[in-house]
Amino acid sequence: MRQIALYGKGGIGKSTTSANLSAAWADKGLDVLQIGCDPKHDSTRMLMNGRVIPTVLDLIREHKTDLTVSDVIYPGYSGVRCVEAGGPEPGIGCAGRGIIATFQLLEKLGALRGDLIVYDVLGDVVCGGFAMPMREGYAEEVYLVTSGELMSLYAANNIAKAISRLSANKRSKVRLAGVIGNGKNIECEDELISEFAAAIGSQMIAFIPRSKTVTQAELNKKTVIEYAPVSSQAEVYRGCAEAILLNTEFSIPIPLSIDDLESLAYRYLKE
Amino acid sequence: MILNRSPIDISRSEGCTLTGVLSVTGFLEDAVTVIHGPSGCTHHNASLLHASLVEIDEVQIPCFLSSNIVEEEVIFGGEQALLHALDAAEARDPSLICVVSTCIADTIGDDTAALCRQKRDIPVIHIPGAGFLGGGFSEGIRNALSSLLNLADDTREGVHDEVLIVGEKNLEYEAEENFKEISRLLSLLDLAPGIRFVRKVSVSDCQRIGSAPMAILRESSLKPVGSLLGNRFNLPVIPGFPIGTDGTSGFLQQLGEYMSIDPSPALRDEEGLINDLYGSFDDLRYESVRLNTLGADPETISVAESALKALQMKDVSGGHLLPLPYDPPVGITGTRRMLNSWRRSLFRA
Repeated sequence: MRQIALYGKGGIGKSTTSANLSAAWADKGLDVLQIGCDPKHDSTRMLMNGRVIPTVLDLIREHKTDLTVSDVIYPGYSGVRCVEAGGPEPGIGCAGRGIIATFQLLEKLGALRGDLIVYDVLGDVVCGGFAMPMREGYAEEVYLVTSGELMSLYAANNIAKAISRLSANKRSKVRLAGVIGNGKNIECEDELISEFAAAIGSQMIAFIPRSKTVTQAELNKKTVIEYAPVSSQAEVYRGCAEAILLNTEFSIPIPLSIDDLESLAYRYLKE
Repeated sequence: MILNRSPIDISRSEGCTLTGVLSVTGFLEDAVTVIHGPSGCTHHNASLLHASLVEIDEVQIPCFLSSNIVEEEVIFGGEQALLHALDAAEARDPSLICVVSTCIADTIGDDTAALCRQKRDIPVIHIPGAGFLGGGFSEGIRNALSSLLNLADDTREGVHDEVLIVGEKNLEYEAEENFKEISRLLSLLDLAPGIRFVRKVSVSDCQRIGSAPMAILRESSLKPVGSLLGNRFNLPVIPGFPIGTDGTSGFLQQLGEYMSIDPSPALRDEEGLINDLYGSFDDLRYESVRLNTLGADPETISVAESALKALQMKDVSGGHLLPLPYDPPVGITGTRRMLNSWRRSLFRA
């Protein structure tokens, strides 16, 4: 079983990427579980054709102790099993603790199984709760999703810091497995992201160019894999999915200083 | 962010803010205190107060309720749980509900103060009690007294001669003896203690504190509360109970000044009483001793050194080790208690 977490800045396209990767793997016949770890609970929406599934935390609140696997896991496109952790209303409570409670419940229910588990995690590792997928032997491979924008690279670098810190624990198995570039139509963006990945001691696994097909698919409440399976964008996602399956290069990242990160981004801006 | 941490300081005054708050609100006779946090915060503090009160022969346990926050509230917010607890408190028909926030409630960002401001038939007062913000036990006492000041009526109608006593240490063994000592000193100027803010008083008493002619703080750590009293009611404030026999004359002079009373006769009486005190411990005179100053308050050491001098006791390295009280002795009564403990220690040896 491979356990994969996608982290990155909010709005960078983690959920879109996660859903398309899950769909591509499911089409290959793999048993995939995708867990949305964001209080926005929209990670699996495209896999569910627009249906917003009940979140684990809402169910915990309603049912308390008698939850079953079928209450929390919903079959989506091509059999991808979908879970949304959910969270409190904006502005109250502790979403990080909610993630921890979700994992504890899924573990208790024996739901963490399959060929691949994909954790789609909130933009930044703002507290210990959001680092949970990287701790306790859950996700072993972390992929950073980033564009070439400075703030996106900054968030990716911060997550690299968290991985680096967590890796110091001898029992920790978490490693940085690569960087996925999600294009925003910036000049030489793939080169910038590739250089960033190398600078933190990793590699760019794939670069996903910006495409209208993604928008069209989402407006039709589908993943690109389902909506336009023969499109070049679908091919990009399948290529990324395959690269991840074949990837064996996992590292403890060396995060950049803010000065180094800025000068890297500045150099590409000048060029 | 609060960076005031003292991991190795385990002295009583640097304990938990919550305990400090409860050591005040627990002594409001017709109030209920709601502790907004996990039930353990309530249980632990109730047990601690119970143990402390039993030690001073008090068997009445203050009424504390818990909002009983569990993981669900930590994740989704605990405000609803607090509202339930407020309903439960209201059902007991108290004159006041004190709501004390704990570390968990403040960590998850519950707006405890806003909930306390919601209209109810019974007044509700929010008192910050989260210890992780850096304050200790003393901070809790200050928070409680400052918040309870909001109960006071703004008018100063019916000003009388009864002096307001502020911030007595409700858990200290000598609380009543110290109060009697202050009463004795006040009586030398034909004054009397009035409302004890807050020790075994009612909520309506707290509403009248502005009508006192002046206030006496238990100790100088309560000066911020004294400033609030001074600013709001224009009350003159004495910043602490008199420490040792040296402190009583200054205390009487300040009392006389604030109340426009000539303290000279009282000072003469007090001098005689101090002489009588040391005279009654003549058997300690010239003894070779040394003070056990380990962890002692500097003011306590100062009182002890004055007593050694007054009794011409010899402080030598090989002398008999004398115990010192935890809190600085208050006036003649406190000094007498210390000398009695020295006598027991010396003659047991």
